[in-house]
Amino acid sequence: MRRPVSDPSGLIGCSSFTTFWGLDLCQSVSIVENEAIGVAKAAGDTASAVVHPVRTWQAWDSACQAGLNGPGGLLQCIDNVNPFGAGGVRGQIQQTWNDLNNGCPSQVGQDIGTLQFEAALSYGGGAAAAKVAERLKLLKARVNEMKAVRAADKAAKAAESVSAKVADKFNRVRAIAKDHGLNVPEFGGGYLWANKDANLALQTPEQLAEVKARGFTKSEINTIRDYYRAVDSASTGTNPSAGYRAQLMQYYLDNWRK
Amino acid sequence: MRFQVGARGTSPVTVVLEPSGAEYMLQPGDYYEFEWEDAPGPLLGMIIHEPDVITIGEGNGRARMWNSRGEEMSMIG
Repeated sequence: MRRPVSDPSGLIGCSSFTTFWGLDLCQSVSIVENEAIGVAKAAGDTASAVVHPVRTWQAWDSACQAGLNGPGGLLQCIDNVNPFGAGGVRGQIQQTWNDLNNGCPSQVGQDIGTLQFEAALSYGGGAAAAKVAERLKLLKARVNEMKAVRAADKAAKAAESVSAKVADKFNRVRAIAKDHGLNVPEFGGGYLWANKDANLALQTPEQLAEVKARGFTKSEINTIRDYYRAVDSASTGTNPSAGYRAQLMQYYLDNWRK
Repeated sequence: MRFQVGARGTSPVTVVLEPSGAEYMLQPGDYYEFEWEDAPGPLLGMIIHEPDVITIGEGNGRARMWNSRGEEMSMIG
């Protein structure tokens, strides 16, 4: 369910938004909404001072509050303030909102640029226009932050998914280490395996005898081999040791009874 | 627990992650940030320094790492 534009609370439809990008989109939408309200307030300031001098700030504020609390929402608020001059801003806020809701962050960036132009066009220069520009600059920065968070989240998910591919197998290796009273990294340095092609030098009957003497079972070696095979398969080319360690475990297995 | 491992010298440092065996090259002035989950056990983790190599061995908890741009990196390479 998509959150209606007229919902200023940011609560309706939150459950669907939170899963759309894997982010708290409601929070992001609320940022846009709050900043849009800021735009509306700055615009209203200009409207009361320039476009509609008959309206006082207090009158605008009351109208806006009524709009925010009632069914009309933010856009009604803008209409209350300036039904004629705000057309471009109103439409662009709507467009920005829609694009954000539809998951088009790059389009949102363009929308904000247009929104800035429309605001300047509708409300002219001066201090109020500067306020609008300031609000829009904040809005743009926050959308950029949102995009950065999303990119980081995507990278995190990719990194996690690589590790997740071997998580089950690693937990079995971790259990083996625990049974031996060690942490898994302590299996390195020649205790059970080594780094890179140094594993090749450990493929000797003497090393295998050491491994057996340290209490490792064939089943445990099999489990460890499977883990390193999975790591080697899932890694993206920055693991020069996993393949050699899997080969070493295979050597132990192949020669276990000899 | 979160901590950073940085290269303050003038040459790159190889960071080896154990137990996966993954390796990353840390450039001078750069750093990686690690997070080790607190977990029961005798050691939270281990850090071993050799010439031009730092080995980061995770303990009994889950471990994660990020580069200095805040991008999460794979612990298995």
